[in-house]
Amino acid sequence: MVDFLCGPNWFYGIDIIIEVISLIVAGLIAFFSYKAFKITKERKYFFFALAFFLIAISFVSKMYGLIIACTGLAKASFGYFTAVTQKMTLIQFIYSMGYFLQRFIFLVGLLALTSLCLKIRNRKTIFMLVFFVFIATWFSNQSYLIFHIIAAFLLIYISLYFYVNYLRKRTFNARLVPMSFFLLLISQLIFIFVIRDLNLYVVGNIFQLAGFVVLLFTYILVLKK
Amino acid sequence: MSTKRDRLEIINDILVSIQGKGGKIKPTHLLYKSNLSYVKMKEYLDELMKNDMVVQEEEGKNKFYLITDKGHQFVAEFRKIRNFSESFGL
Repeated sequence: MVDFLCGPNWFYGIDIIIEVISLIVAGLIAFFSYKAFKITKERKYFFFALAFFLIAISFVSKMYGLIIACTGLAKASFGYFTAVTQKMTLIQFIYSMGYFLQRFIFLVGLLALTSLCLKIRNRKTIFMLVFFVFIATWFSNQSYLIFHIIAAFLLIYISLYFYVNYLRKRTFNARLVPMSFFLLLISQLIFIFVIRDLNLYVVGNIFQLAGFVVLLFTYILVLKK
Repeated sequence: MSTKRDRLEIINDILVSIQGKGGKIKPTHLLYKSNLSYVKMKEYLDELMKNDMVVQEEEGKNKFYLITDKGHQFVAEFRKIRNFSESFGL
């Protein structure tokens, strides 16, 4: 289950800043959508808030994983890998749990968004999809790859939905939303190939940042209008 | 064909109509602008007054409805929610 990938050393810290920005943007959207739910009592806003809240939480788990796995503490434990002690196993367990939670929660967040886009209302169907995501992220011995492939697959549906919405509405804001999710889709596709070239981790993160910055810009425009 | 307005849209339309008249409107004007029956309009106005979004004022024989700060705030929030909904296709 533990196949954690950190980027190049010089990038450590920058990636955490990117996660913080992504967390703030997802949190702001979740908060606004929840506020809309409180005013309108329409469930679609609640589920939208829930989806972005889960995505925001997943970034917290990822930061936790990054801090533990990429700091000196974890590197020291890798350094003594041949002499596995109980303490080292515990460190590995802690960060692998953090990273598993990040993957699982992020995918459930995307799944919630996809369900909203595809208008999947049946709870049994949603539960079944969540179960498959759990199985894929927990039991797969290539959970890193599986995670990014599923995320990219879900983002294709989400981006398409927002693109169709743009074609219907033809507004500037509606154009920005599919653009942001398309950037996130590209970032996930790039993350798939990080195993081959570690520098792609940087490129993937830049695309992720661009996606969330566009999303933030959309959010500001929504509030400003 | 226009879709049926929901409760919040009607409330927003009433408040926007009052705003459009400088924050103060006669019931007859509001009836015309809100496109509601008298009974329905009265129902909505009672709800708005209960929620402190609108207040009633009498000047001689004339009755007026005034939008409050809370009413202005609702219109602003509702506009943002509509923009949000449009942008994300909700």
